[in-house]
Amino acid sequence: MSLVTALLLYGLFLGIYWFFVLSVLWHLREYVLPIDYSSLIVRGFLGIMVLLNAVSLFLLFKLPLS
Amino acid sequence: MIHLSKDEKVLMVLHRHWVVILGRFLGSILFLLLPAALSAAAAYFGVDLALASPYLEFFTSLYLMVVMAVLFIFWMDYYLDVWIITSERIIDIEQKGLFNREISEFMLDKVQDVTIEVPNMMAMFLKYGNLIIQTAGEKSFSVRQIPRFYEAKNLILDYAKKLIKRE
Repeated sequence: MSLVTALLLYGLFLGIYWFFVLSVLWHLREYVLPIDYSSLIVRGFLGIMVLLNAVSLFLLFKLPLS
Repeated sequence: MIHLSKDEKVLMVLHRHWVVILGRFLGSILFLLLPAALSAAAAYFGVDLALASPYLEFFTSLYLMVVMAVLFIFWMDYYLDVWIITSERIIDIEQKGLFNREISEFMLDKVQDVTIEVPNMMAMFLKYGNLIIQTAGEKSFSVRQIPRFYEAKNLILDYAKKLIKRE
């Protein structure tokens, strides 16, 4: 598989992935209560997801693609 | 967003007891640990993954991203099932999946009867239960698997009495 095809597929995956994650964030922003521990949990989840996203991007460029 | 009237204040916010989400969370954590377990199993059985290693690492990172997103959705589903008791009404917000939500509310002066239930032994030990509120309308509201249900019942009845007296 060529790098361009892999990048396109990866971009498609990321598009769908972040659509779902941002939908969750939209719901939370709508109904989150200010005096709460929830913002910490949301930041924790987002931090881990962004980190995994960066790791997967790094690993994509390490793949032996033509 | 929830809009409160001028003199209205939030008295209590209730989410389901943590035991409700525990099973889902433990299941997701098992899925998070699956790649490490498979890798250990491959090493134990002497399977050489060196050639496929870059692809395995890449797909493992994508897999972990998906499991994290599922965990996030589970938490949102738990967190957004919420009952807000204010000094004038009860707001019941129920999140059903990612794009479906039901919000209902009723005034405290319509409360006629409040029943509490401790459904099983686990509920008794972990101190959670169900709260069933009968209103003047036909619909009864039930709030399931909540902690502090005795406190919630007393609060509802106290404020319902106050509102009825004021009328």
